[in-house]
Amino acid sequence: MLIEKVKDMSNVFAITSILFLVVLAISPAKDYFSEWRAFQHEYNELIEEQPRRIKPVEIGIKQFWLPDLGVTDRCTSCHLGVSEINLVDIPAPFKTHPVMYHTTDEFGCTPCHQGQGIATTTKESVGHEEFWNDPMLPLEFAEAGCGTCHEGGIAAEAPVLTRGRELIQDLNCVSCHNLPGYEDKFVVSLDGISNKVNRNWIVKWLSSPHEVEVTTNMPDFKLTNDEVDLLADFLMSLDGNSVEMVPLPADLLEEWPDEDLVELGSTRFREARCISCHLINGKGGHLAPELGKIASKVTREWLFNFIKDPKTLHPGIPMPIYGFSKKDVKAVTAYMVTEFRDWDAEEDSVQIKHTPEPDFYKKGIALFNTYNCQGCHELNVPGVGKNMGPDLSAIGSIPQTQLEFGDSGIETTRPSYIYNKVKNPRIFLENSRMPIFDLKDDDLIAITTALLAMRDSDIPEKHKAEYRPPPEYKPQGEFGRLVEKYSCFSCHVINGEGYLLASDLSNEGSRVRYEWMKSYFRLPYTLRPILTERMPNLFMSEEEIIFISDYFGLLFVNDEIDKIEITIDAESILDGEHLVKEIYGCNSCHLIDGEGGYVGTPFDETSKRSTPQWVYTWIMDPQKYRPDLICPDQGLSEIEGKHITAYIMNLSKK
Amino acid sequence: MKLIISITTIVLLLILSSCSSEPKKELSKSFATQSALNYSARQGEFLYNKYCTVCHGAGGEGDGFNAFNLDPKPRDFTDFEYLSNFSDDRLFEAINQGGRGINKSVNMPSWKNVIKDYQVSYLVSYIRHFSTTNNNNEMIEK
Repeated sequence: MLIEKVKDMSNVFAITSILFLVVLAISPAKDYFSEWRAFQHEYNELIEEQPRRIKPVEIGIKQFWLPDLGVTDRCTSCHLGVSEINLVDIPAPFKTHPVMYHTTDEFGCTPCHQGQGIATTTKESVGHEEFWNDPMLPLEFAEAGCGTCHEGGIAAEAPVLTRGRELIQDLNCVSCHNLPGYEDKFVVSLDGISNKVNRNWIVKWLSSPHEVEVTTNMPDFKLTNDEVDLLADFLMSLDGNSVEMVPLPADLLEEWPDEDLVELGSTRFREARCISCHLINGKGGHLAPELGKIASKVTREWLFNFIKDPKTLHPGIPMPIYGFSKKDVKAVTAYMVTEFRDWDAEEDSVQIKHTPEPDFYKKGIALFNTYNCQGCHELNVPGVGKNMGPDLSAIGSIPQTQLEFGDSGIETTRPSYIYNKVKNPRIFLENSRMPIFDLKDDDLIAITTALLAMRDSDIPEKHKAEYRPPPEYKPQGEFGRLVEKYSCFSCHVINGEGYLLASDLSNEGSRVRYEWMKSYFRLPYTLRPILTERMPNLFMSEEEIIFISDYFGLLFVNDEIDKIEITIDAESILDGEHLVKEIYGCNSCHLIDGEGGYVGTPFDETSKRSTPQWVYTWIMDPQKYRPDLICPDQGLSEIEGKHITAYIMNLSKK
Repeated sequence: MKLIISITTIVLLLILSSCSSEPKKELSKSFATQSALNYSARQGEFLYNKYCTVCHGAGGEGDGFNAFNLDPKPRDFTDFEYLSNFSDDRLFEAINQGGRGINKSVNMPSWKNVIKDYQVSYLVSYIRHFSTTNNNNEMIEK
């Protein structure tokens, strides 16, 4: 009896032992037949065929362990050629990683590419799994990785990310979404809109902004006709809160103003270089709205008042207050109302009879708030308020399970969500409020990249690129008033404040000659022939010109530039000419004696404008005061720099 | 006997669970046209557009707006025959050292203090694509 039981037990024991052995064998077998091991053998075979000798790998898991960053990346177990410079033309996964600023030893792989670093199979490391929140970024959006550490502003070597950030700023996404690091952009207020435009125009504009103005940033809200009517009625009913306007002078009351006045207006319009910023029928600058049909958009009274003083009608507008005389203002208005008409619309300009709904005001406000019009356009009316969209401050790390894809059938990943949402905002939810921006594919990829970079990342602060927002500089007193009046900061930067479209004026007193500065304010000309956005003639008064030139000459100086000693003698001029023409080829971009390129400023003009100290400072390091300039630093020696300066300063004296 | 069966089932279940795989969902590929250029060439494209197009032209044909002022004319990068005899290293030197570094016109300046070495290699990749795509197109036409 006992023996039988023991026999039975020993059978059980034997079978379970074998089973456990099998189980134990699974793990080494899985390891032996693993994907990475096969890749490593394949790699070792492949490199033997290579013309240059490459060291074979030792079979085994490879990993970067960077405890400081919390990185354990085993990607190089298969991506074996990442740091090997001679495998550029080899197929993935053995290919050389493109050269870049950072090395893998420094940061590993996942801080940039995301994905599951610890995994050892393709599927798991790519990370498209239920419980892995950060799958690898598709290559299109790879620069989002850069943005995780390089927060804010321009990421010099990540052009797609930088473009995305510029677009997010330009499209004013921050008006509806919380996006730290972006600023509110100036958009015209709607106060007094009923005195500015007519109802027909509002209806056309709201129905399809891009049809009215191709280049506008105003997105299409895809409003129904009823919604457009309600909003138009609501906006046209607001007239109690506008700024008081000067009534039209008698000369402008005629449908077609006097020809001489129009002629004068045409001259002033040209002199003021309005097309530096404004488009006219598709031609001109891109900083301000299209003017081609402006006379059919705004009322004549409004246009007259606006040209007289744009900043009273729209406080904060980037347009300068031109120093036009009373007659000039009349003339420019006369010219614009004669020339810039919508000739097609002239015939049906008869106001269509329209009776507003009885409760249009209440419904209008509700619609205005629903679509958060207040986000961009200010409107001081009781009952109007902001009504923001979702917070996007950490959209790049939002759990993918929180994204609602509806029945769109679109790949359920975070990049795919953002890309498609920006491309077609109503795709996941039909009655979404977000408007349609009508963007090109490149721009969509750039915006998606910049949004994916908005992450709650656990990378320690010390590893992040330091981002210092520019210092805030607010000029005071009379100078401050002039800077505001002429909107200098719309194009120029002073002490970090402003928009760097034209030159940085922080050292202007050391850069240019006092006499030149005054004559330039009186009649600005184009320093670089290729520019489209040119300095306008602001028609400043003589007192203003002297005041502002004195101010620049006294306050915006830099001893580092001023103390440089330059001697101009025959020998240095001769050597300078040799260096410029025979060695460094400066004339391929700069005009010398009327010959040469048109990229930089003509050297023939330089000595009238610039101080020798500035010329020297510039040629020794063109990027010193403006890192984004393309003028190549030639690495000149001090002597070479001084000789070239002597040559350039002597040029126009001939 | 029951014991044996239960142990076996547990072990089999364990094995099975380790082998199971999720069903695959087929979803539409949502974005985007993968660029025909690789990473280096894409980076090179941005640099090229910033620094080179004024003379060499956006299409690399040596016809940038500043080209008509220059003698000799800027290099036409679509010239497959010329470019194929020009090694990557030499192209690199031409950008880095300028014309004077490789015994060519000094009208081509040296960029080594503005464009970093690895960025020059991006430019080389991008410049190469002009002649290879052009060549491919010609071959297709033939």
